[in-house]
Amino acid sequence: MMSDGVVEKLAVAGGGGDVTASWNALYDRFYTRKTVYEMQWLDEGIDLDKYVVACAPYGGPVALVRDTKKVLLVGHDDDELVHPILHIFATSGKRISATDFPFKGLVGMGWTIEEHLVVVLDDGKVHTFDIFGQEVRGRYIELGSECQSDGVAQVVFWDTGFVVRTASSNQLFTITDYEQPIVEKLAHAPLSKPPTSMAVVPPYSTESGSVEVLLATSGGSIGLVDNKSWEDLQVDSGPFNKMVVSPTGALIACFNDEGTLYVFSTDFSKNLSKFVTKSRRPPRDVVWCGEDSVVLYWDTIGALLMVGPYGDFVKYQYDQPLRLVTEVDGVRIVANRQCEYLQRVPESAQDIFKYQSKSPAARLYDAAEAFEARDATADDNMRMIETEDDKVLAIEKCLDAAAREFDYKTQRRLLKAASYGMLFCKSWKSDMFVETCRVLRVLNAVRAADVGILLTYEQYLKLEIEALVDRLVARHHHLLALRVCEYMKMEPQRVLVHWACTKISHARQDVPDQQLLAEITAKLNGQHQISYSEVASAAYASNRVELATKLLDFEPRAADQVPLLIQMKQDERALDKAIDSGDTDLIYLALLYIQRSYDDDRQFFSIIESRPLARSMFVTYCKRHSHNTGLLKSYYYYFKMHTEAAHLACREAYGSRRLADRLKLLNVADAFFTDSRNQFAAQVTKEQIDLLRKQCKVELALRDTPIVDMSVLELIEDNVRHLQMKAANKICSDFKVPETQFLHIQVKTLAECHKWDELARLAASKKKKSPIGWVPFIEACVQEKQMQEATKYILKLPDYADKMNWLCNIASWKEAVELAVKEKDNDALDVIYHRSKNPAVQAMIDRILRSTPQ
Amino acid sequence: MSGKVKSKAAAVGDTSGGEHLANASVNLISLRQHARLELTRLLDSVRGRKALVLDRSLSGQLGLVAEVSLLKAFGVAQIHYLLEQPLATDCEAVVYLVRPETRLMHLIADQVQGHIRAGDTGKKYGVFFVSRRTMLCERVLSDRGVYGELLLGEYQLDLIPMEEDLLSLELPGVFRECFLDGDPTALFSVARSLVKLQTLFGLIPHVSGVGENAKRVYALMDRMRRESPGDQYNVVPEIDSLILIDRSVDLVTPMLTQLTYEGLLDEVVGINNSYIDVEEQVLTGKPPTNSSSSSSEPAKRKHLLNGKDSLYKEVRDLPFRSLGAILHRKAGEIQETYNKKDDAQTVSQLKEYMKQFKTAHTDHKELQTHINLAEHVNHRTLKDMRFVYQLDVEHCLVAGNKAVTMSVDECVSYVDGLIGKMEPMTKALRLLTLLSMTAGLDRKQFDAFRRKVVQAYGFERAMQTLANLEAVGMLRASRSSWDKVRHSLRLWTEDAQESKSQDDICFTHQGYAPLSVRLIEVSSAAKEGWRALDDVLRLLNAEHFTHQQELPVSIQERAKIMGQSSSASTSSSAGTSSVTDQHQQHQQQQQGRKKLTLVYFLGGVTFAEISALRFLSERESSDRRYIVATTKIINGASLLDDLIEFLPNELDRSSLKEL
Repeated sequence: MMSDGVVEKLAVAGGGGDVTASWNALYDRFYTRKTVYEMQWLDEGIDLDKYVVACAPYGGPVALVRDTKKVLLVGHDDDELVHPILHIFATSGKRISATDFPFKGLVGMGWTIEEHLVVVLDDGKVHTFDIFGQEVRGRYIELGSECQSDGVAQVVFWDTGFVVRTASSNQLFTITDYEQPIVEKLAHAPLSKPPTSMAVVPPYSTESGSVEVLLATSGGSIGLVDNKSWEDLQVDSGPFNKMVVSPTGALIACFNDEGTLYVFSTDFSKNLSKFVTKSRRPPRDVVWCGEDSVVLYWDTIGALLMVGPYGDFVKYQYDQPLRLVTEVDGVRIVANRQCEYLQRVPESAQDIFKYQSKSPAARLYDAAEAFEARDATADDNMRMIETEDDKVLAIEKCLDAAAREFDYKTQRRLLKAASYGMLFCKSWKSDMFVETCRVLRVLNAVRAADVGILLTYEQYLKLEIEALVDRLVARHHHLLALRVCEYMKMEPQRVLVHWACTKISHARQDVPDQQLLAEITAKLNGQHQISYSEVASAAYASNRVELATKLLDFEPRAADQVPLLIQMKQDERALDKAIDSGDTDLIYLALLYIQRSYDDDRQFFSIIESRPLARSMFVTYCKRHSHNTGLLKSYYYYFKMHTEAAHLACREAYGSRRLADRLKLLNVADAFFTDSRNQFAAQVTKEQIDLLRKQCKVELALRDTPIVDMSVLELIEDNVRHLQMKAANKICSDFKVPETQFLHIQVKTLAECHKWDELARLAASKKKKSPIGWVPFIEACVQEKQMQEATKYILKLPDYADKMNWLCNIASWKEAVELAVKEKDNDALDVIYHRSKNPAVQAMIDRILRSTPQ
Repeated sequence: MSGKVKSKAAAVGDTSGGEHLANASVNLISLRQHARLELTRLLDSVRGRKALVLDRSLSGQLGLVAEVSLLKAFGVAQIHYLLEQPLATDCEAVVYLVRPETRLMHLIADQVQGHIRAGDTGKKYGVFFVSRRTMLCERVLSDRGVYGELLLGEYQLDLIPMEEDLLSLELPGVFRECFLDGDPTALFSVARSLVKLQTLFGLIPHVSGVGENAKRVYALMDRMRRESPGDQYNVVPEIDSLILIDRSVDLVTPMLTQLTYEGLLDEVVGINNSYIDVEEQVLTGKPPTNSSSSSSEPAKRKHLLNGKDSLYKEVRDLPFRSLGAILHRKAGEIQETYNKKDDAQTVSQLKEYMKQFKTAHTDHKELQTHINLAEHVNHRTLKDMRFVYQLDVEHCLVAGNKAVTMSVDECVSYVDGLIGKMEPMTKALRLLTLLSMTAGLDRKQFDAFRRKVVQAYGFERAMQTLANLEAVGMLRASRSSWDKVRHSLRLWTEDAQESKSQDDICFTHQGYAPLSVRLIEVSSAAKEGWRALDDVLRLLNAEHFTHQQELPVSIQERAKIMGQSSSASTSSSAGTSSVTDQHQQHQQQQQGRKKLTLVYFLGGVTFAEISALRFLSERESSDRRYIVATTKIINGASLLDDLIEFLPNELDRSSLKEL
């Protein structure tokens, strides 16, 4: 897995000595520097000095582009100066890609959290590349005219964005989120000379939530710029030629022209430390190692200086160029020949390996080592761990130390110690051991030089397993990613989908669709939740429309199928899939898109012709969005739907402001109704035209009284109300109002207006038999509480029982009694007696009953 | 800060307003809790002091799951309706809660652009769709150029528990959309709600249904399951079967006046989202004090009517005619409790009395309200000759030649009179469509009635409305097969008050058994299920289907184990308990063993139908209990109102001169 040399170096025999050999004390803590890889690029003769270098955090890749600013002796590789190349290597020096880099005016490169390489050019253009050096589609950005004309002089990256400074006006611009690349102009910094250095506090670390830029002025102070304002922070220890913000954004390290390193809090309220190097020459790089030490590198003298809190320091000497990468838990040192990791010794490892450590973990480790060596002190050591709690603690410490260890021999020794401890610990229940082994297997696998992701346990915890899997598939390590998924009990879909997409996009043009489809479905079949639409998208992007369509058939989610089919201009297929899904949103989407894509609506109509659901939904859509009336009309014409066209014409008629237009459109409706043999509707429409014309005349004659838009019966009602009986009769005959209807409306209206005489006259005109009977008369009177009037009509009822019932109901007791007497109905008298509760009525009934013989 | 968080948590967890769901067969409170939690989550996703802007059609629905204090606890400072006007607010965040309608998207875009134009650019906007975020709406927002300003999301407020046995989507206009417009969007919502229900309460093993739309809903459900496989249904099913019933199968029942207390209340005063809106004096029974508001309309008051009111729960399903006697008896009981005062001698007796007095006192208040309400309803119904006569007409129509009180001709002239007197259009059409669907209309009658409707209500109100009624089949010139349907399903019982009819659902309409519920009753009882109804359904022109949904093997096993353990526990406990205990236990067991059936009405259900299903659940001989789900609670009037369509009239009277 690791190169033998590395292992050899770490595996010095005996006790903790081998482990602690690389330890250096800084104040009360230890730091360790370990070589992890010997660079594979050595064979290619890569020399960091000649390149602009960008290293991605989380043990990520290294990008190199020839630095044109460096004057070089003409050598055998000068070709690269003419035809620049973008090299991307894993941090183990294994080559990932080499692509042409036809861009001029490189200002800087930086890696994003997604491991995309962002390249900023001096004309304000920003290109983004994936790990294979391919430009990422849709990620090209231009910073705008100001950057273009003034030129970009400097750029500072963080993981989700960057800040640029223009050359002469020192104006700052930022992009804070690559997902939404909006160029934001920051406040103007009133500087006469370019700043001597620039540092950025990312938006997620600031209180305001907006990015903050610190500019060191040539006058020695530092200015703070954000989107709103410029503020001089009144620092007097400058001018600073290096400033670097700590990983959490809380602290800033500043190196001034006198060779003094200061650490401030980022709001500059506190000066936390001061370290005098006396080097007038500024270091090439200054980086943080964790939050408590700063590493400085002078390339000219090959010196790496690590400064801890309280002024302790360690110095390492190098005879090769190197670059420093800040990681969450340390510093990665990428050099020409090797890659090293510099970090604080984990607390658990200190606990175990520190000289003469008496901690339970150290005892456990010693005991396990002794046991391994068949040494009796094993038992003694074990006994000295007294409590159960201490045993648990010791095991946990060993596991933690193992997880944080690069060297797998040491890992194994620590794991053995833990498992030895578990034998003596009754209360150990945790599955932490299994978990640690699992994680270590994954970490060791990704750290293997061929993969070359130098991930520490701490970084792994921060990055999370899903992101790690994404990084593996991005590097096309699909098989390893799949194994990791299996091992960590994760769903493998993302890996498989990415594999399929890669398979398609990397397939040679002469590989037939059929073969790709077979290979892909063979792997993907039987897996739940595979996003076939994503694979289909990749096929479509590779101009394999047939394959894309076939793949989409495997996609169970219509919401994913339809938009892509639409994009692929597979109109009918899209519409059918949408209809199949029953999802009306998708149907509308497909319908509207297809409709808009044809210049001639008839083509659209012919597509929906045989699809009833699409048709009815299209109609509904048009009806709900009134601006589509024209479209709806042509639809009805196209399909010869005359009745519907007629109703639409009616709607339009009433929607017209002018009466003349309304009549015109009603004539159109009439014609359509006639065409569709809807005689009833045609007749009614004709009559309506007639009615409107008549009403118009009357309204114009009467002035101020709205007559138009009354219904026929309303018109009659209006006339009856004004006792215009003749006019009412005229309307009745003009519009063939049935007699019953005419009577009902008259009775109702006359009663409402209390025209009792007219009502009586109307009743009289019907002689004995009214076509609507007498009940409507009675009810109309009762409604107006005219019981006297009502009684008149009740007495006209032919049926005795009905009469009696009505009289009792309206409490016409006197008449009821008379009627009962007339009919000789003593039972009725009884009922009246009880229901009336009226003493006078009761007295009357008593009288009658007394007078009549029983 | 922590104090605020605490109060938030307390606010979400607050089950007040949900007590009426406590005894539900399945845990409906969890549905309500789910809805509340979702709401608070979306409110939290938009930071700052919020103005909540509501789609007006959602307010009733929202009120059923969340109260104002909850909204306040989550930073809502103002509540507005989404109207066609600029939104004036000083809040830093605006949260829109809307149905996915493009019309509303334009209103939102107008308001947001209004703010920007006015220079008020610092606001944050959230738009949450109930219950579904659609691409169509997103497109409008993007066309209007405001897409980037908005945080978009979904609020899956679908089935709301109204009662312990009643769920509603509260979607208005579904019948019209599905049956007239041919827009099945609502069916999609129904299917989604069922999928969600099944993830909570387990896959429902037996699914059956009648009608075209029922079939569609099943197909959608099935598809949704296939679209997202995996094991979301890892719960032992609590619901045994699902019956989907298409409203179009039974349009007769809603057209009849409901005669249960709750049904009649809905017909007379209207129940909306469990609330009635009535004048104060209707509830208090006191005559209005006409000192202050003699000129203006009497003030109305909203009154909540649901199972929380124990008396209401007891009487709402009863025939209105029998209500008087029961309320009278209740009054007697309360009076008796009051009278016990004199018996209380010792302190402890007095204490006991006070306890009884207190319950009696609350009961008294509830009782008084219902006596007043019943009186109000009674006055407008049974005491009104016209109402009674109309009932006779309705009953004559459904009973056909079996009715003795009047002839069909009399019914026809009654409908004629309604139109001739220009009674409210809904009322006239309700009886006209009933006439068409039961007795049937010949060509001549059909044309004559249509003409009369046009002449009475005017061209602009009648034309489209008549076309709509014809399109959904509620008005047509044809003979009706109603007589055969009624006969074979025994839909009419003469003398409904007599004891032999007490064991039948016909109590809901005083002799008429609601067709929809009868179908469910017969199909559930018959061995061959829906096939027993083949002949009748052919007459109704409705197809039926039955499907089994296969449970995952692991669930099948778990269900088996659960079944065994419950029976095992009975046998062991039987030996120790007394006889009465055993009896009680047995009863509980019986109750517990009743299989749960969810009946989903597509296009609405009436209160009377719900009462009929409750009756079936409680009937001793029944082995099932029913819970009802619906798109909306409807009655004949609301159903018709959706179909009545006026032509928008834009006439400018000054144009008359031109003619």
